[in-house]
Amino acid sequence: MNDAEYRRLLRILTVRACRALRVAALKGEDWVLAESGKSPADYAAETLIRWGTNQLQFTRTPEALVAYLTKVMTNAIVSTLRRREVKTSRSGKMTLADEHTEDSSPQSKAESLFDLRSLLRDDAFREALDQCTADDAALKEYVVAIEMFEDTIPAARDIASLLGVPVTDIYNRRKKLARRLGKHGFTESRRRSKA
Amino acid sequence: MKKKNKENRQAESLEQSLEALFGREADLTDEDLDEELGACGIDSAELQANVHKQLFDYTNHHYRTLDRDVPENLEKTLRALRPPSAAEKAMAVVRTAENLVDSFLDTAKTKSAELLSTTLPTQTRHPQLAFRNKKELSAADRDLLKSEQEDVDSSDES
Repeated sequence: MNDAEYRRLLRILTVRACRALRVAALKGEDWVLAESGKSPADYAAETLIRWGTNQLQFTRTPEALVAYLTKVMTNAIVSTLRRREVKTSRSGKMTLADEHTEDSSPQSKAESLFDLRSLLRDDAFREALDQCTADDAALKEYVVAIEMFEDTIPAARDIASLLGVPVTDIYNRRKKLARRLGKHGFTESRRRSKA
Repeated sequence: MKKKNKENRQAESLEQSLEALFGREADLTDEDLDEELGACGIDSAELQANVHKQLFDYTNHHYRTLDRDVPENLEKTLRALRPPSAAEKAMAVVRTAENLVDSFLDTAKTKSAELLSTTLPTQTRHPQLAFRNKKELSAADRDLLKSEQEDVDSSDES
């Protein structure tokens, strides 16, 4: 990889970390996470260090490296989220590890935690989505279209064909939604830190 | 092992959900990435400097101070993320200023050309064409030509 590709890799990893942490922070009463002690940049740096110091066994082609490192970082984020001491209340108050009682939630709940259906049914996540799409009919339509695929995770072309729009239109809606949700999270975290 | 599998399944599930909702990050252009980072309150240049510092500190702590060789990939990453030096920053400022001046001059040229083409009177916009397209001589033209011819003839005689 050349220098520009490394810089792009860093931005891709950080965007993924922002998205993953934002979604996780909104999901469920016990999984708020800004207080994990790590920023999106920290996760990206940690992944680059693991890669740079040969702690990761990557044997595929260089083209597959970005997807591989993105997956490694997502695993690291989920691993952090699952630690008891970072499960906090929605008010943002940290629960200390020694004050925390054992998680007694059923196995099935944890396994479906970040499943698309489960996310879309989650009240807090849904509310955030609704706020981000309130003034934009196309975005609302996009979210409703995703929900219509009951048992599958729809690809952009599936949604485009359902809505009868070009697939590039779906890419643009996705980008817009991601930016809005990112902004929503950033505004929320600033509001919480001022409170 | 069971815990690890569960984590992997959750990570996979999260990846799928993120992709379905927002698309793949790797499909975004550099501008899209910067824009989304900006929406999250992250400046790309600051991000790069911040991560470079973390990698730099890690390298010093785990390798350089122990006189150990820095792994090749870490070295490459560090070099790629190194923030620009003062000289490079100055060069970038000069380049930006030059581009700004060029663009200003281009705009001025375009605007003045537009302005001239719309404000000059019709008869002076295409003087050559007006002359070339003249089909018949007017009485004034004939008088002028006649007096010129007479001047030439009289000078020949003398």
